[in-house]
Amino acid sequence: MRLVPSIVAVALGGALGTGARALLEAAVPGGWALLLVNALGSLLLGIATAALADAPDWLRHGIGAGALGGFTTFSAIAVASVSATAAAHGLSTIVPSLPGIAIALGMLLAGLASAWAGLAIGRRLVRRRAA
Amino acid sequence: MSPLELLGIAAAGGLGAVVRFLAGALPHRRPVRSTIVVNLVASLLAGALTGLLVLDDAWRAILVTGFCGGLSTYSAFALQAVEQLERRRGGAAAATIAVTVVGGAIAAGAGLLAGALLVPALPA
Repeated sequence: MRLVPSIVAVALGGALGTGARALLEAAVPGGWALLLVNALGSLLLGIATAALADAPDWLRHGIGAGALGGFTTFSAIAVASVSATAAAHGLSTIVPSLPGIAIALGMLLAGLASAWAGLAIGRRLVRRRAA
Repeated sequence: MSPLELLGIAAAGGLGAVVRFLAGALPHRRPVRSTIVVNLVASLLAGALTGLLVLDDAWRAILVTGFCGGLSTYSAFALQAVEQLERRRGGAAAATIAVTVVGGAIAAGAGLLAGALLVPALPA
């Protein structure tokens, strides 16, 4: 594997993906931007993984690990779920970790469903292209 | 968010993505495990930097949203877990999900705590 073209592509893709996430986070109120970003990024990675299986390494790495890896984030979800637990009030004073668990599980289900749907869409695209 | 701040966030995200790529894409590495490791490390770091109250807002955005956000990934985690499920490796998929989600919360919590405890030690 030639590493240098991949590293350049991952750096550029990562910068673009991260910049897009920062803009969306600033534009969409509340924590919904993260949910949207991660679900959309997982869907697109599923599509890209299936549809770009035969593409050159640097392109797969630049789009997958770079742009979509940088677009999506795990750390922000982890911090948000812990912070939501720390700031619990109302019903959740009985079970203080409820809001945090809801964020983590909601994101998990959305992410898994999106990645699965993305793979299915990507494979269909490949079959249509082959036919 | 100023254009310069956005540029800093993007550059830091590119750097984080390269670190993540090198941790996972080298031939002898195990991709699922390296995704778990970078996500936990990024969560710990993001928690610590979020808890560190003395940090200036622009730098916090560059380091937390940029570097930690670029270093961690949700898409690769979700896709790798789905691929494990497709290969009927349900136990491995459950372990990937449990270690990532529970470990991520513990790492972020430990980071937030460490960051908050560090503040008095630094000159405000």
